[in-house]
Amino acid sequence: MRRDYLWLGLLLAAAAAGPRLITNEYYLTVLIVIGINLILVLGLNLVLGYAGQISLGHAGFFGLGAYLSMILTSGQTPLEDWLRAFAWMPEFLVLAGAALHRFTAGHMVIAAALAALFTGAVALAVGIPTLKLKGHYLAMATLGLGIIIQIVFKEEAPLTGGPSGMGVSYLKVWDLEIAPNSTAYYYLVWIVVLAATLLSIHLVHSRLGRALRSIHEDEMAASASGVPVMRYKVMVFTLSAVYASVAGSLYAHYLTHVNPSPFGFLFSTKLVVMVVAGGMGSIWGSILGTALLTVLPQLLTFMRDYETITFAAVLILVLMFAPRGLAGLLEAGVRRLREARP
Amino acid sequence: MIGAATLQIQGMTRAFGGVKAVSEVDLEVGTREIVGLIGPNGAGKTTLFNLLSGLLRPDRGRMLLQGQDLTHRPPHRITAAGIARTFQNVRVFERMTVLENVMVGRHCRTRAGLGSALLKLPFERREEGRIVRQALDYLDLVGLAARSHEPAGNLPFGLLRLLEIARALAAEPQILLLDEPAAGLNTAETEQLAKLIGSLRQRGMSIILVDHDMRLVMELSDRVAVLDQGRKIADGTPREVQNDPRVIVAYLGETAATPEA
Repeated sequence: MRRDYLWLGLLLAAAAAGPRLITNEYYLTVLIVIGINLILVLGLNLVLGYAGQISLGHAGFFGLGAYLSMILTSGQTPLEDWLRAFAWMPEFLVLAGAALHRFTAGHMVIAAALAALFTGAVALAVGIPTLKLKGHYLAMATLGLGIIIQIVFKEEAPLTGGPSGMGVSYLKVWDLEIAPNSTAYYYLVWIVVLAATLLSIHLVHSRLGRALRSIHEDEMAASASGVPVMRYKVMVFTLSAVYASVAGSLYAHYLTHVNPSPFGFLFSTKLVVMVVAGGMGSIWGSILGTALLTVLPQLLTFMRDYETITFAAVLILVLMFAPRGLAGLLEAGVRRLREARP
Repeated sequence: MIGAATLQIQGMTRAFGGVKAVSEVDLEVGTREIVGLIGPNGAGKTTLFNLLSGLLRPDRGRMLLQGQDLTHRPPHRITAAGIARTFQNVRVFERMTVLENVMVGRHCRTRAGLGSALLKLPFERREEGRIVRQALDYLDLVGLAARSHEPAGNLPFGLLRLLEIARALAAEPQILLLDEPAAGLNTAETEQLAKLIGSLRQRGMSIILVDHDMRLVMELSDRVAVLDQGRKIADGTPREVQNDPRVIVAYLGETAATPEA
């Protein structure tokens, strides 16, 4: 735990120094994208790495956060228009929707919080039946969920803009407008990353974190030891959906546009690869894996069309040669160095 | 029976397909009582344990712990109510440390929720400190304190059994279910185990003990119940049971030649 705080301090220093060290605005973009991916992967790592439950639908939660932030803060009135389109919709609900939108359009942080709340509620409602499933079945259920969410983005055009999406306003934190691709936006994203990391560290070093790991190892023994297995699976699934939603809100205001394509199955698998490549159940491994796998495709731009293949190759190589991921490799390396030195 | 009945099992029945693994079993366990549960392989001992710990649901029957009906509760709530168990084929969390294994056992006696865990509130910190101290006490009791920071997977088999007992004890059970705790132990380890079980009774615990080591069961138990093909065929003092003709036919008579049976 003390070592985790030390690493967190180092990460904080690196994040603070980041903008000073880079010379090119493009690198700022990369660092912001790494930050957003980190929030997603930190959340997924709690589900996949700690509790041992697969989720192939995380891009869907990411998308929910992004779309809800767009809807709640839009300069137009998508929520009101969409509600009005239902013939049976009572007028007071339309008015309530309009009032909500007027409020959240002026309070975008609250909009993001509401988005996270709603996404968490979706995860809770979906998690209760699906987390009873195991292994392949859970994978299929979460995969289906992700696909359904993406279909809603494509088809509910009045609300979402359909396949071509909709514009998103610049983020305003109270009265302060934060332009995307500014250093301020970078700092905002990384403050959230550091907070998410801190919360994850706290969680994994608590009785709940231990309970999650015990579920990963042996559900039957965990429940016989007094751990409410189902409840904690649903809890951590919901928490990770909240992480994903926050990342989505940051993503929407950063791109200032949302469309359905980034929120598909492919991105969900990439997130899983980042967790596995970093090392399941290691916060620092997740961070390393995410950074590398976000940068790698940028370095390999000459084979851009084959980006997916690189991810597949990374996954296969990791599973074959480093089943405990980068974190495991580094640990083994450090141990070997120590033993070599008499 | 010593003291009043703490645990009452009435008409417990569970079938798999057409086979009645446990059929109409009644059993009472008093406070500080050690009840041996024996029977040939496949007699339904482990199934009964799975029913008592909530891992299996009974088709029929009830179980009451100090008058409280626990019959259809999920496993973690049965543990919280006061029945903890170990497993025949040891199930420790191998990639967690020895200490962490026992700390998981404290789960149902501790409270910190998601909010206080995420924020590491002072309450959570204090409770966490208490969990560590108490877990170390339980490790001390089974003689594993010195190895508390090793990964549990590193321990030899005999010590894994003790670790599993420590994890179960950490839940502060009134009733401890031990499923073949002596299997795979050598003579010295078995002796140590017998001492440990005796000391648990001193602490006010009741124990149901399943084992194939007849000497251990007969020596420790106040009462012995015999299962055969899912039915209880005898229940009495060790001496009574050993002389019961039905038991000799069903169990000792046919398999006495092979002490491990």
